[in-house]
Amino acid sequence: MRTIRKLLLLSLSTIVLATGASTAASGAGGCVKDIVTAAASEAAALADGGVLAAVRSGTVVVLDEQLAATAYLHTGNPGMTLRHAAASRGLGVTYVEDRLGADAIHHVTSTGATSFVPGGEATHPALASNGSIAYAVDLERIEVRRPDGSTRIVDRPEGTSGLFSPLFRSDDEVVVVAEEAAHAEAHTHDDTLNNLWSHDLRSGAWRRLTAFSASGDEWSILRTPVLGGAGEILVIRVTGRASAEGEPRYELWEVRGAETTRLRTLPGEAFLAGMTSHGLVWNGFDGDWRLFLETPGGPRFLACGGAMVDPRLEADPDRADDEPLPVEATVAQDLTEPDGEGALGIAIGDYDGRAEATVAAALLGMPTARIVGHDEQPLAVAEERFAILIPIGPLAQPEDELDALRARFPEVKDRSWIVPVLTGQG
Amino acid sequence: MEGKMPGSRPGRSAARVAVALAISVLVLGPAGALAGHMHDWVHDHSSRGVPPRPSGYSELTRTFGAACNDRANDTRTYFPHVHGRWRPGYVYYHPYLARNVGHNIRGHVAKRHREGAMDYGQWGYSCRAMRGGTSWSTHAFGAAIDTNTLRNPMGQSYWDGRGADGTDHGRYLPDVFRGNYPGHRFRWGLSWQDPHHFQYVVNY
Repeated sequence: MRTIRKLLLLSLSTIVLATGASTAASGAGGCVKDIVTAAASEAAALADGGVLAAVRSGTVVVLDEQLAATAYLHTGNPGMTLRHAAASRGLGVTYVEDRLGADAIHHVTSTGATSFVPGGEATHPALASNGSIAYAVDLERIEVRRPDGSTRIVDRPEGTSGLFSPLFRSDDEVVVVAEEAAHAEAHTHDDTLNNLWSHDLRSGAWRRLTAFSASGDEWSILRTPVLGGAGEILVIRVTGRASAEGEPRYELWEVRGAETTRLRTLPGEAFLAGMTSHGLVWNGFDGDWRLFLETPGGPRFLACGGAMVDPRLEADPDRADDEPLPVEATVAQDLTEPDGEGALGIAIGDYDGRAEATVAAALLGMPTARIVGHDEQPLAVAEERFAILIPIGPLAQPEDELDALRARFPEVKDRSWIVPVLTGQG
Repeated sequence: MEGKMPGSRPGRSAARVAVALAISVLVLGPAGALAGHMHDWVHDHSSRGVPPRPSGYSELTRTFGAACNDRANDTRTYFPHVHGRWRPGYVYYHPYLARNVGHNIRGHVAKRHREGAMDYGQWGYSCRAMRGGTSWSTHAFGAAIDTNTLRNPMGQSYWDGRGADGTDHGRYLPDVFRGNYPGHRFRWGLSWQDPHHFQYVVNY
């Protein structure tokens, strides 16, 4: 976040805000609210496409060849969330309407506007020069919809568990990000290792382009690939560890021929929006998604909006609030259970034996501390392990108590936790 | 900055635990040993100590802090199937949910002798992005718990209620997580084909 603020400060003097007739009204996150010039239809200028498209708050933002931005209102359901957009000069604009359940993809060209529902969560649309649209469905497969409306399903290559972010390198070649199966130590079912793969639409053959790896609880993922001017692929690699605290590492990588090269390490979160004749366009988040052009003099703010990044300020319709269960319908609401406020404590541990924990407490200057094991506190301490237990009073803030303890005893910072405590025991 | 590892030390100790638990399952039924300790457990039906459920990214970060912040894994609770089926370990999460997860979810299941309804894998804090996306997983804020992952993988559009004991417990576990008292009210991921996922935030 701080990175983007720096970028923004650097670019304030060179902001070109060409969103039609813009106002100074601040929207959420401080982004200037766009004045919409027209509805997103075949009659609008966006039908010709542009060099880059983004979405924001129900509008489609299109950059023309001078990188001037114009916002168009999507005329679908009020309050809908738009997600991911792509544009190409002469080919129009395509974007996803995120709906409850199956999403819709809209494609606006000078010959008409079409919409279709792929039958799942649609993401990452991309345009080919022949007018085909590629997109991911449920992050499981890629579909290529031809201009005649026919659709080809591209299943994932062996050894992978998901596909997304398709990119046409030519009309016959799609480059995608493939999710590889999580290794056993990853301690997650989720996205732990990504690599770029190339799919030949004529032969159906797959070819792996990168060989990133991850082990232990490390993860290495790829996001927002874009096509460079000479056919190279630029992509953001993010690496981290599931158990770690702090921001992960962001890097810009290039895949050119058989070479995969790290171009630079980024100071913080940043993603790619596209390559233009003016240079690389970035997406950064600073309370709202913003587009920046990379220039020799620093980043130049272009407009607000996200190209292939996920909307953060708008609700995902699939994750909206749900109705609470009626009391009589759930076994969790048995009013015969003893009612009260669950007690909390701080556990310092773990130790292999009660004697070791007792000595540790003495060394910390806590000679009267309670030493507990699993028998006394089964929710807080593992079998055959022991901990020093410090009760937290009912009026105290648990986080404040933990901070105070760690400030007093820095040596226990990585071995102290707030735990549920069964009162009357231990 | 490196943080705490999610889970207690496996190995010989864990193996002994697994054997002991297997024996206890045979003799006492699932969770028989633990249930005996639970006579002092109370069910928190109040709203005190169980703060409001945030809605949307802005409220999420105001409530839980930034993704992967050093507060997000400061609470731990012992769960029965972290390292494998009947291989217990610690699940880490944000202190904001200490009473929610520690007492009203985990304690409730233990008190009801229903630990066999739970199953591998069980996870909490994990610093990572959403699958295929540029948003942070709710696990990166310590705001979500996964359970019974093996039988309810991402992409599955139904809940398989079979637990580690092989019995079909129906929707017992989802109902514990999403009950309507303040101490429950987790949002179930079934709506987006993530049936093992329960998060304490909506609209994100």
